[in-house]
Amino acid sequence: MKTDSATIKTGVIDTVKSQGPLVMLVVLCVIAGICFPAFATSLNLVNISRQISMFGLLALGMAFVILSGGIDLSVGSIAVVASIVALQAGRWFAPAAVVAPILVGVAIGAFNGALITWGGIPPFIATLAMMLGVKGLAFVLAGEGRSAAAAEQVVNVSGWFPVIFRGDCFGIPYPAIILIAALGVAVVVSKYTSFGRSVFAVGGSEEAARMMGLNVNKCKMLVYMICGGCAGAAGLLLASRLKAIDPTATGGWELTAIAAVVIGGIPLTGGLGKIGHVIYGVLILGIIPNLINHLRISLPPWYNEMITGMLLLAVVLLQSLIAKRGTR
Amino acid sequence: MVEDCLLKMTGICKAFPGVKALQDVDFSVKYGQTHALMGENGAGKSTLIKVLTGIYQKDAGEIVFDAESIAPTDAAQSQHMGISTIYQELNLAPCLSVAENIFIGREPKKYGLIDWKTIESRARSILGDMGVTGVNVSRPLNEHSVAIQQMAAIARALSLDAKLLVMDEPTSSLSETEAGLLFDVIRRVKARGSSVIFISHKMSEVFEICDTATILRDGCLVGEYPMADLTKLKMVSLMIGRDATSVLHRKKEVSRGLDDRELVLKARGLSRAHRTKEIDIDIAGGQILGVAGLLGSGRTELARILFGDEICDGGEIEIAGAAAHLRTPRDAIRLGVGFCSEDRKAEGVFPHMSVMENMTAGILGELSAGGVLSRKAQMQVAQTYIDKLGIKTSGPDQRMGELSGGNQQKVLLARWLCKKPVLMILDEPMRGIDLGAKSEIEDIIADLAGKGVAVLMISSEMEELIRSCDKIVVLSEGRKAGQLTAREISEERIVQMLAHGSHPGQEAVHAK
Repeated sequence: MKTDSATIKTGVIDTVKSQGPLVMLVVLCVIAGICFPAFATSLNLVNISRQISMFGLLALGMAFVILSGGIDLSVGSIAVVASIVALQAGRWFAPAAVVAPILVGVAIGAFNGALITWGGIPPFIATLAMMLGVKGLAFVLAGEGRSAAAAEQVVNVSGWFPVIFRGDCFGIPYPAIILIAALGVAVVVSKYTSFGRSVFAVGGSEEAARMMGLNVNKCKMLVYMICGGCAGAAGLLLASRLKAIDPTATGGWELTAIAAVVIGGIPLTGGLGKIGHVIYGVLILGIIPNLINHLRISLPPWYNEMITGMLLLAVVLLQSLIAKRGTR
Repeated sequence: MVEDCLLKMTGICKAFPGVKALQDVDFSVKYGQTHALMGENGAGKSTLIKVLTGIYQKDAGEIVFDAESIAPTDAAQSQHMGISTIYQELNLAPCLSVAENIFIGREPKKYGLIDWKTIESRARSILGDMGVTGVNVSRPLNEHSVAIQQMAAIARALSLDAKLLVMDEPTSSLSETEAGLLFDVIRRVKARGSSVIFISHKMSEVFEICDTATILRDGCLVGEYPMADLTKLKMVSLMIGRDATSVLHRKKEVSRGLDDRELVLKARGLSRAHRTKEIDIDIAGGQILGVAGLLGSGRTELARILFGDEICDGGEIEIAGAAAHLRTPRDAIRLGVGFCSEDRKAEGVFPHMSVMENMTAGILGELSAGGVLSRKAQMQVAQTYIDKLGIKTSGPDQRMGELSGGNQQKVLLARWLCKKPVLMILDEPMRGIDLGAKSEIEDIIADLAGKGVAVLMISSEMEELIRSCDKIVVLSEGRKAGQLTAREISEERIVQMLAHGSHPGQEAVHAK
């Protein structure tokens, strides 16, 4: 007979293991609520939800890629190209402003996937090259010969276009609704479709997945296309927010997205974790700058990245300590 | 006569650059047959299987499966035709649940979404049909024992309506009880009318479970024999192409009176978590101590404690007369302990590095002058041991990954030999190694002991222990179930102790 205390102990470890990100989010919210009374006001929450919507979408797509054992460094660049495409396409034909950026994202994602599957290039290298190349493309599309500083230009858009980012429904901003809907779809796809499950299998062991007769290449292609599509959608929101072309708008977004996925409990080795938990990572990374912003007198904004980095370390350290415990 | 053959491969040829892996091989399996495919490493077994399952494309020949000529081009295709392979290294998704592993890729759906309830109940019923019960199918695969994982792989194959199951060394990481369970499953599979191709280095298993054996040697067919016409000796002779009497019946000098020699290792009350409990071990210089035990008996944990890779919660270790506090492998190595892991691939070999680099990886400091590594000295060491141990390699510069299992093991042994250890720990040193190389490695181990090194050898093959060891300690559920001196060693006694210790009701025997 095993002792009950041992069972309880493993139960606690299991809970922390599976709900760690949620626990952390709650702790952070409590701290924020105490330090800054206005934190829980609807105005502030609405602001946060708008701010996280874009990199939240990136993180969702990234979660699929990381679960499959890959990485996509090009999402920031994809988002910015998509935003430019949205603005440019909108000038020709208004509805294209919505469809085109997503299609462009999917197309670039498909190219990533092709490089990785047929080209046999490691995902890190392939998407690093694409990150640089696509960023370059963004400058080209923004207008020939412009420097980064001068590249920003306001574009005339249809009146409804900024509403995508600005508007709300019963107080809930559209971007938040889009993110929640995407999250719901992602959870269902990951848990209840053959494709979703094959992502986990491929991430767990590509060789095993191949031996089980799964179509590994198709799975990887889809994963990068989804990731690209999500980045495209984020680009659409960006365009709607800026109403201007700024090829430098998304610098570092890919890393934030990766951080959100990891904080959400999906290890970079893939095959393990829950897509739904990525939202915790996104919220955590969204609340930190908000918190720092409100504490700006005592904490200048440049502490933002430092705290994010430390938090990321804490999460990864915790994960590895728990994993170590588990194997003992 | 063709109709009673499920599979008929004729005139199969396959060449790789520089090697003819298969030359004009015929191989056929009848319906409901358990057919052993035998041969030493490099005989062409795996190549033949890979041709059959579409991983390799044949150069010539014909494959007829279930009365149809087939030419699969990948694993998925052959699986679709009804050929399922259970590989040596399990090819399942470790983090997904047991049920999912059985059904992944063709999950039952409801309203277009995966129907988890049905998956789990069907998984349970498939496993139940195999006689495997009490498995929590919704837990991840890697939380189950290797045996259960294997059952999941077989369940997957059966649920795919496999007509032919190919099992490549399925028992290499199973204990004997677990292997027994596997054989029950194979018998049920056979009773359903499916055929099995069984590949194993363990002779006794082949005789237990198979009806017919096809023997390959050097890429050529030796012949197909009904099991009843074969003896172990005859089979070995056919496999290695020479009289095997000398291989299987090595004479060992019984009792070399080593017990009065000075102890190299003296361990008292080694305990760690629930895995090992109060184990005492003594090994004298020149003695080979065998450790017998089933999987989970604590045998590997014991080895890792003695090598400092796992830290014991309690107990004392003395190495060469001095108290040893082992906290990392470095501590153990400094005291002259060497260790060959049971998992060569993951914990021993650097596959992309040369034989020379693999061999000298542990003595780079000694081979350097003023911080500069001498390639000449490295070469010298490598060449010495290549000659000494009879390592079959094109030279010290050959890539390690290109060597056969037996030769890789020799290189790993050489890695420690050149450090002149006082205590050598060998965890399953002969796993996955063909017979010829096995006997050579046995010789190396005996030679090592002859030079006064204390050897601790773990093996799940009783025959190996009986042939090599001067003394055997039997572990059961983390405890020492008993100890046998050279005179007392016999398979019956070991089995007795294993069985005795595995009943928790009875007090474990502490032979001291």
